[in-house]
Amino acid sequence: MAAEREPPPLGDGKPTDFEELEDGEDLFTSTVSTLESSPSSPEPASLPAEDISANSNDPKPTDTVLDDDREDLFAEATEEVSLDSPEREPILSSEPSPAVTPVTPTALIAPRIESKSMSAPVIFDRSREEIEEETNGDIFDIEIGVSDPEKVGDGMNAYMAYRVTTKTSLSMFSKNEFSVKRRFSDFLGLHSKLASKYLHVGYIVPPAPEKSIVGMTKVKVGKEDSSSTEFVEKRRAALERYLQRTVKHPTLLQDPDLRQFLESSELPRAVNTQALSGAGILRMVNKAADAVNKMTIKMNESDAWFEEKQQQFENLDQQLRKLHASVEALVCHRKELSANTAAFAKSAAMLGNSEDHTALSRALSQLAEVEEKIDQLHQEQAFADFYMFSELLSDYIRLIAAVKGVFDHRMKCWQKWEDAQITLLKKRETEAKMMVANKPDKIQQAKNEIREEIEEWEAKVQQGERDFEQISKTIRKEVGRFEKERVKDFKTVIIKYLESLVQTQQQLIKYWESFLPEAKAIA
Amino acid sequence: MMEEHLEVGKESTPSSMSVDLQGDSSLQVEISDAVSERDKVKFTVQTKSCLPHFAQTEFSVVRQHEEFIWLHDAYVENEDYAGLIIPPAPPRPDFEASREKLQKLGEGDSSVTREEFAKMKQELEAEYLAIFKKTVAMHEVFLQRLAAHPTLRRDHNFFVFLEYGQDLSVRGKNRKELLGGFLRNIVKSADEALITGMSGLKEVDDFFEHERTFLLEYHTRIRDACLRADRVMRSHKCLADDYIPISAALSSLGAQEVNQLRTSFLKLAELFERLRKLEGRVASDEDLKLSDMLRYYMRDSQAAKDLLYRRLRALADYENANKALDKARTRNREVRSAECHQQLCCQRFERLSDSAKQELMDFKSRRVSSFRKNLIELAELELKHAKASTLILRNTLVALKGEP
Repeated sequence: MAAEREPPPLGDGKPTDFEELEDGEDLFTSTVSTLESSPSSPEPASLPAEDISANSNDPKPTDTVLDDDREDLFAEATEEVSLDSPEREPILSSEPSPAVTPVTPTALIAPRIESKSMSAPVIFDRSREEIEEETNGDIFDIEIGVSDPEKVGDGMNAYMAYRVTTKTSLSMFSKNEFSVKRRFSDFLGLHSKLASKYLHVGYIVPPAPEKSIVGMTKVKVGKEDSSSTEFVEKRRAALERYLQRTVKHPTLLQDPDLRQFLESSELPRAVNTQALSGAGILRMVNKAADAVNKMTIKMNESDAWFEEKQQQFENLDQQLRKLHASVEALVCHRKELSANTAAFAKSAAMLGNSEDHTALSRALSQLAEVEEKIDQLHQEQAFADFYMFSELLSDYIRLIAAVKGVFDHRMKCWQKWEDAQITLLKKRETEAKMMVANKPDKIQQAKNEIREEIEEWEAKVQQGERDFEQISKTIRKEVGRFEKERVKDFKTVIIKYLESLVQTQQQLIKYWESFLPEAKAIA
Repeated sequence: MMEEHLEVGKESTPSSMSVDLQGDSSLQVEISDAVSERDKVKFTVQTKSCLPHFAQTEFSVVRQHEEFIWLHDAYVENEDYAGLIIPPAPPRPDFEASREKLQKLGEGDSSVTREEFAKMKQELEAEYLAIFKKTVAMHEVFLQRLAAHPTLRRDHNFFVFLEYGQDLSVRGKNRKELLGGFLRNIVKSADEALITGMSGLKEVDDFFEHERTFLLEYHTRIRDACLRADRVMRSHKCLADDYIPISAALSSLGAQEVNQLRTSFLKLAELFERLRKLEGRVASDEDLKLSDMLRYYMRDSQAAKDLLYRRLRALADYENANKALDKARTRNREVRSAECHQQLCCQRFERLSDSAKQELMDFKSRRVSSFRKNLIELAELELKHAKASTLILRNTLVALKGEP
């Protein structure tokens, strides 16, 4: 019924000017007032304006109120507004396409759009953003911990099991606090599933920690030395950060696979994550193919924002890599300093033993003790250097690779759309040629076929365009979120790291202050 | 390659080197200037003295390292000084490592920014300068100890060294001398056997017995401690150098950020630059107050060991003379000459023992006071740097936390 009615014109008669329509309130109010005045307006004219404006601002709980009293028109409008799944989005962004006829609020509001405009969906974007803001603010409360690495099994089949503990007040989970045991390949499996679902539509899926054949072999073989404990700790911390980043993503948090990973006690083994498995090799081949394709896609970038951002991320990547290399050198040298300090402490102690002047001997022993404590300090600082500073940088280097991947998917999406357009053009040309040719009996069947094909490709072109616009929109949002997170992340870690440096210096002061009187006591 | 002309005044002497020189002011020696040329350093040795021996009250000469070594060797070979600790010779000036590093830097690494390059060059030049100052100080302290010692200061060769305007033609040991040096080392090891008690010589004096065991162990351990202190100092230096590329990378990051991280990164870059300077000072203070002190007393304790085995050699001579006298008496031949010889050996041994005792006690008090001074200064400097670091770290934290 709504489809028959001509959508009411806007009060001010300026259909293409969307800047004024930023505020949903104005939008619905003006529409309602127009309805009231127009002779063909339906019952809703009797509805008070406030109701509708209130509803338009508060998308979430309004379904029931409107459904009962009102016209299909508004009922459908509200339905569209209640956003709860990503699948809905393609519908919302369809307004620019002239062929789309479903009555969406966008069609309601902007009936006469000739030019392609992306800003009408902005209203709904903001509504969704409002939901997410709320999600982030009040009810976004989930804490993940990865702990207690435990070796399971023996020999080359052994693996490390980690305890994943979740503390949350979110209603989507059955309990407030729960934990499960997971192994490294489970994490990789989770990432693989999330990536396959969300990467190609433009979501920045946090990458999982890297595999390390050498590291794991040492652990399997059972070497209980410090390098394998360090390896396990490094991995544990990386897995924790990975999960924390993943649950921070509002869309990924909703994913059932993630929930299953966190909650269910038994998880089907992710076998396709082994480096040398068939699936693994297939992945490598695909990656190589992708790389080649990327080089040959020449996209007509109509949106400078994307070009700018890609350049920005490229620069950021380079700089982070440089910084990361320098910080790794710092970690290495600080560990050396710690070892050298320990060695010196021992020789100072020996010297103190040899020294036959009593007071000097005692002072030298004290010096040895101080140096030993300082060695400990350097070791702890080296850990801080690594786990706070260095790992943050390496995490972001891999995250940016994921961001670049998302931009690449957009290019592929564009390519698909472009290819569809080219095919459509060819089909149309074929049809045109057929029209001109002079074979009446054969032609009718061929004409029908071609007509069908043309329709099929027209749909594909439309879908391609929709997909492209969707992914572009998603990327814009994702990049915005990513940048916000990045700023927060870096600031937090930088502050923590500096505080660790302050701690070290304060301890140094303590130690030297305790030594000074000993030195002065030498008589 | 590098011409480094340095005005070296008294203040620049690394204080670990200044020993308690209670000598009177009748002979004051210092190195007033130094020039580093291609592969040699020229020291200007300035003397102020009212001693009648010298023609003027104030005069200077230019000397090179080999002339210092000649002077040292002359003292060591002089029988008159056998009972004294000869101040250790200064080590040869060695800029090789520093020069190599500067050269490598010059060859260029394209990944390094201009600021980084400038800072690294600055660091290396400072290092070069520090090595230079140290070598000057070590040559100076050698002369000053000689000038302060009541016996050694009166040596004729010393006067020649201080006053003779021409060069002493001792540069570049010829082959005979090198061989002589080699032989001397062999003899030395034989003496080492003496001192380590392997020769079965009976030590009669408790004091010297104690000193012998003490010095043997002490010398080994202080050498170890010195080597390890060097490594610690180098690690600190490495760390300081690491801050250069970190600071540069942070600057670049800050420059291209458009969000709040811009100021954060830039402030962090500044912080690391300051921390670098502090860490560098920690390194150089540890070098001067700890490493150099340990190194000096390693050499000084070697000189004390040398004294001990000169005395033991005298004791061996004395014992041999006793045996010879006994043999002469039993055979009743050349008794008189044997008696004379024995008496001479006895006197020599006793003379050496007396002066060695004094010298060794002086060595101990010198050592204790030097350690005390340097350890106190080390602790005070470490505290100073740690407090300065804390301050700049805290300031940066306040600035970062204060931002929105």
